[in-house]
Amino acid sequence: MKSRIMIRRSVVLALALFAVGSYVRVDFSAQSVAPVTLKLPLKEGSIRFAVIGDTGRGNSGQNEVAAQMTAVYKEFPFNLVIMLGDNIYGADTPADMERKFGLPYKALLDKGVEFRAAIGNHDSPNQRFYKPFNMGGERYYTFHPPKNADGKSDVSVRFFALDTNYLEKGEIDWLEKELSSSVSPWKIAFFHHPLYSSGRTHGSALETRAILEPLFVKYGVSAAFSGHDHFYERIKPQKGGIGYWVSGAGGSLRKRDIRVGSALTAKGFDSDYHFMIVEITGDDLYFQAISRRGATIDSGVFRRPGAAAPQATVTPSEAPVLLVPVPVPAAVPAVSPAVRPTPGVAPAQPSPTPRSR
Amino acid sequence: MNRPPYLRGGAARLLFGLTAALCLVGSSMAGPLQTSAERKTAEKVAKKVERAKSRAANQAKEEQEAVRHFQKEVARYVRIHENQLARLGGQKGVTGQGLAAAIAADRAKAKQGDVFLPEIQPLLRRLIAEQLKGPDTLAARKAVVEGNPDDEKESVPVEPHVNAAYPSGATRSTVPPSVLLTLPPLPECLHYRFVGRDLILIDSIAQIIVDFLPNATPAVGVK
Repeated sequence: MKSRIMIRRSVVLALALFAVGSYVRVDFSAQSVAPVTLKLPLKEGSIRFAVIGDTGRGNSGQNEVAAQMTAVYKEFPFNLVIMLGDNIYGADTPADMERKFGLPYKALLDKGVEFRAAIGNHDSPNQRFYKPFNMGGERYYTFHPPKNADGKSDVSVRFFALDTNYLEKGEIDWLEKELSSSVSPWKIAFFHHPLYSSGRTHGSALETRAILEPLFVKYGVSAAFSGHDHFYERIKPQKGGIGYWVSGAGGSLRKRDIRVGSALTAKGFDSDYHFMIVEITGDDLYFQAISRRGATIDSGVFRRPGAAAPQATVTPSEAPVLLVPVPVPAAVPAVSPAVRPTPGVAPAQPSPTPRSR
Repeated sequence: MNRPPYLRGGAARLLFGLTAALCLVGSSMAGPLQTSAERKTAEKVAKKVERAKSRAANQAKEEQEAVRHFQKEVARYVRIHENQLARLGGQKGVTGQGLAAAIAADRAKAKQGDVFLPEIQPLLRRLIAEQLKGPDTLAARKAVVEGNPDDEKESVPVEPHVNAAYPSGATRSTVPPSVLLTLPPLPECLHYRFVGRDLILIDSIAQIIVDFLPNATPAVGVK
């Protein structure tokens, strides 16, 4: 009798384990499944850019993200990439710069995509003189998006690249002056240390927030992108309706580093490398965060604070949106010398706006 | 008392309901953005940064004198920097290493304390301690540790010496804004940084250590 009961229990246990195992298998494979479609408005004449942070290691994670960016570029041509700091880890000899920047993004650089960097704590401030980073020799600077196919630079968006590793009075005064004189409806700041983050390792940079946030609110900064914490996190809109993103896993990854249950998190992802793509059209900023495997980890639309709509909102899309499948190479992506320029996107000319001090 | 069954657990239900309601109200009062603890900490840090701003504006007379002498030495260094930069063909034609070698040769006899004069040293230590010791300083202490070559596993070690090159591959400590707002301001070619507990004065273009102040920060943890 006892043995029958034992057998029954064993069968039930085995079935339960099988069910759980199947579920887990399905769940894992879903994350690595090849993607399907790219979802943004893809509107003609929109402003488009990509976002990467904490990239410069020359490792497989960075290379795979770069390959995915190249694949996305074919469907979603962008002419600007903003870099959120820690652009080059460790040594920065010319060979290092090539391995940790030039090679991974070669396909994009060859197409004339403009990279603009902010300085991180792993970076030498002399990266400001590295031409491909388009910093114009400045630790902090401002610029409009690169010229489009029609040769016009869109002044409705203005970027502010900041050095939060050394935020002294000169930079604070400069930022206030530039923000107060800017008439661009979209003011987008990017810098290394996140003002809001649920990272266990670093978290919110409170002193930096105490300095920057009042300026952002006063002068109508719409959105801010940071790295430093090695994961993806979309923060719930904060004071002034400002949207904050942490995007620090373009080549560095700290798994399970987001504090579970953080009141800041609108969406978090800390299990793989990623990058972001952004499209601005009118008063809407569409965003999509994409893992190195091509899975969409977050997407939605962010309404510009102060725009006609009653309230700035972030509306994540209902279903996960996947991208065009891309084989992910293990090493540095091969670059085809015969790549044709994507119609409609002219190779951008670096157009650093000198910092006025 | 024969109460109907649905009333027997009434008190417990009421207590549960009240607790849930209080939790909801509490969380909504803290705002949907942060927990109340996070918000309070952020507010305290913001006040501390404000105090640091006004601290710089209200310096005592003897402090002003020490700062004036320090800035004279800073200006002397800047002249050397600019002369060597011009001699090498200006910013465009020069590498950090080339400029570093030229400056080091020009300042071959420089020693610790030449720019961080003895009279400014106690003031610098005090100003830094004010921002890193005591309540509401955790954020600043964390910033000092982040990127500090002595605390970063991935960093190349840095040994502070006058005229030593800041190694390629060494991380840079974040200098908390409150500290930067209280320390005497520097021209763009010079930066303060921390290496362990030492404060270094670094040429931000040549990437050489111009001077250093040992044990400038108090021994403080970040927990």
